[in-house]
Amino acid sequence: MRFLFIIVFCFYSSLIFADSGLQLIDPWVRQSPPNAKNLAGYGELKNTSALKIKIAAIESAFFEKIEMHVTTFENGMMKMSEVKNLALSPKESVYFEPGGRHFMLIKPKSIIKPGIIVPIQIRLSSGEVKRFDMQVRR
Amino acid sequence: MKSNIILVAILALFLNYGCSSEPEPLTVPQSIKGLIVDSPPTKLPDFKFIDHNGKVFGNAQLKNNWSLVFFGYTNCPDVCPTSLSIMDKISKQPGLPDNMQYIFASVDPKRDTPEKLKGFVEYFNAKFIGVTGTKAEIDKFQEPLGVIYDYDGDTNSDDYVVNHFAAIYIIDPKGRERAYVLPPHSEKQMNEAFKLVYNYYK
Ligand SMILES: [Cu+2]
Repeated sequence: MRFLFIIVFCFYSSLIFADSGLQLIDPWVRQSPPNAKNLAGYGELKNTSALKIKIAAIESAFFEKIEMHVTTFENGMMKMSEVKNLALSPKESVYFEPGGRHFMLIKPKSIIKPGIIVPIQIRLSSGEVKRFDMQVRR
Repeated sequence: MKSNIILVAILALFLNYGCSSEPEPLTVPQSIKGLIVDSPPTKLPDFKFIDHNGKVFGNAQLKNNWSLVFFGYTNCPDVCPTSLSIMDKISKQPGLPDNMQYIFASVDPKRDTPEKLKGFVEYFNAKFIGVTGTKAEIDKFQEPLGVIYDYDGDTNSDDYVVNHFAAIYIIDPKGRERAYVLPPHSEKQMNEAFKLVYNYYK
């Protein structure tokens, strides 16, 4: 009976959480200098599906808040602004890399150093939640 | 008449000698992106900062050294750590002069106390120097060096962002701006840029 329940549950949950095909390739967090209030995370966000994917929110138990930001340079002036309503077309990749788009990891709740894995959840507008593990690097 | 010619010749020699201290402007190959050379070099303002040990840091501390200077703020999560870790990698390259120094100048003195600066710069390299000053001292760099910045968000809170000019300046041993390198920075670009400027103007 219990076995059956597990099978049914697995089947059911796979229906609810039908895989959207969102991937975060080589996700990593830059180790921060001591007492840093903000860290930056990077990786290639890839839509492997044939449908458009919209990002609704990003969370992590390790940070108070996560936003998507983009750094731009205008004649050498560095500006950082929030990226809202990010959507990925089918098969599209969006790159998060130093000096460009980044996951702005705001107010760490613990010390973030190499060897630690930072789990993040990306909530899609479909309601699906994808979990990724980010590596900490110097 | 003859003596006049000699006089003119001597004068010309003097003038020529006087001018020759500034060589022809260095030609920058296209392969080095973002490097802009000042010819003649740009004089720095008379300024008085404080370093991460609480000591005065001013024009005298730039004399007799080649310096790489980056203006930023320690709460900067993306660009400043990237540029500082590039400066750290550059500092480990062969072929650099012995009198090299690496300076991080904060344009956010309210939050970046000397203690905060110390932890920040030493994280990247124990030899790096963190400096900052009053707004008036920092703003002296706006006109000659183009150091512009603004605070985005509530500056009474702890959460504001600082948008800032993010070039790396190459300062010569006379304490003058010799060149600057626009972001985004890479290790290869900075290494080639500095060596080109140093080997030409040393
Ligand atoms: Cu950011």
